Amino acid sequence: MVEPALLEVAGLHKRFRRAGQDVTALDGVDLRIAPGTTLALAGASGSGKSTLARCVVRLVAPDAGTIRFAGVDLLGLGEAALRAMRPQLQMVFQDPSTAFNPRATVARILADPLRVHGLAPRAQWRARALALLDMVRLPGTLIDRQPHELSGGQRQRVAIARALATGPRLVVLDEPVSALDVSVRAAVLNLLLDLQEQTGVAYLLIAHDLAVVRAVAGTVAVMEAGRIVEHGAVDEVFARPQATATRGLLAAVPRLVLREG
Amino acid sequence: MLAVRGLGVAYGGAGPPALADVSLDLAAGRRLAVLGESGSGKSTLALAICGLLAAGARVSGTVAFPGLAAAPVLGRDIGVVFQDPGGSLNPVLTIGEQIAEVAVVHRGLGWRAAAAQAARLLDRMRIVGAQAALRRHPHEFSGGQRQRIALAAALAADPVLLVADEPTSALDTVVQHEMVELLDGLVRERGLTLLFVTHDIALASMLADEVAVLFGGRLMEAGPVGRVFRHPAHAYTRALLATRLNLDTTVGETTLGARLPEIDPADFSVFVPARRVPHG
Repeated sequence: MVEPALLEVAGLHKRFRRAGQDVTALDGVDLRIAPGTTLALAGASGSGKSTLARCVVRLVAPDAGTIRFAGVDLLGLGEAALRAMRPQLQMVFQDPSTAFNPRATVARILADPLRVHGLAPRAQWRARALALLDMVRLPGTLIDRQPHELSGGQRQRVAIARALATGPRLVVLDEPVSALDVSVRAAVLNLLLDLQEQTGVAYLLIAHDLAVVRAVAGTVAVMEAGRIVEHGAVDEVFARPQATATRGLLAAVPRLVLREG
Repeated sequence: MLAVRGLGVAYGGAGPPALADVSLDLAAGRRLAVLGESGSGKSTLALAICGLLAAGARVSGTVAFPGLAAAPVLGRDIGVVFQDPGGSLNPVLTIGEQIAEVAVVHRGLGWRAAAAQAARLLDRMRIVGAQAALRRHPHEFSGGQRQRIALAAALAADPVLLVADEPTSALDTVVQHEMVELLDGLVRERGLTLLFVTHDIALASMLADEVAVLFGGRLMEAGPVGRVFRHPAHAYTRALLATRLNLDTTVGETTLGARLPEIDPADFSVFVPARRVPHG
């Protein structure tokens, strides 16, 4: 039995004009994500994975194709209906240092989605912000700090807390750990796994590093030149890669070489 | 080639020093990886070796080049590549001018000979259409190409030491892989001495003969790559090895409830956290 999809993308096309030339970023992309699962989009720079992610959260308008989210035609939504849908569809960016208003405090950053979407009265904002900090395992003492006073790992936890503030059903994670120190990556990935089990949120994980994909995703779609060239269970795809792009990505993962001496 | 003794570097302010009491040696023709995370002091060490520390930095200890007859000249005896090629390349000059200038200034080549050499270097860096590429500007190239162009400029005066500070960290894994193979080939064929700064333990093992592990401005341990990674002496090195993500690490949907090992920053012990069950 096929589970009903939370997100269903079909025939997505997008062209950009760059330096006077038409560039095809998406060339007919289909994908689906079931509730509570993780689909990884892997591919080299320029493969179209970030454009696809930006189409899904409607930061970029595709030229053709459909995006159905929770049974609703996302591209057919007007301004007001899209705004009402936003709380269910959130995004976490690669670089936590550029994702925030640098002068806002953590309290303000976490209260913003509640205020914008009218999800809680002002009197509850601080308590909700503290609960969100606890949820991402940050001490409440950070609540009055500004982003530049936090470490990279702490900033990315705040970004994850902000994305979860609205109780989303899907979060797009755009390279969520690639800007972080290697020693804090595992903790952030563990946090994402915990939050998924707790809330049933689904993730669309954008990553060029297949070790990160391997660690947390159940399904992977490999992109090249605006198309999905391979798709399937991570175990299957990594054990028996069919597409050249997949083989290239697998071969490019740095391997620990233990020479004699 | 290089002897660092008791090197300490402190920038302005009352914070801890960026580097404290670091000593290490790099023999001619050897490849050293300086491994560390943000705040480890690895970039400060590279800058100190290149003589590029900010004017206000307070320095103790010594950096010496016993193999050289005179103090090294940056650009001539030491070539440098940084993480961001924007920091090495001038946006308003053609790449031909920039690469050729290095050989004109430091090796006294005429412009025509320097341009011919620049084209050969670009070709070696696998820049397609090297001759035409000389007349183009940095923004016309991809990030990976810019980094290879920066490498061509760093090698144009035929230096004996190449310092590469996270040269692949801004690149995706496929482009990184190409760059690592290129760097490895160039170091071997030119007999370069390499100081390679990285946060990636696997890249260190692939590119270097020796590794120096830095944390919090201090040297945790140093030695041949094989020995340090097979028998790490320091808990921090052991923790990095134990928590490294690789293609065999599976904990997500396929192993529900499993978690990745994490490092406790207090003592570098490694633990697998319990999964957090829904609360409230």
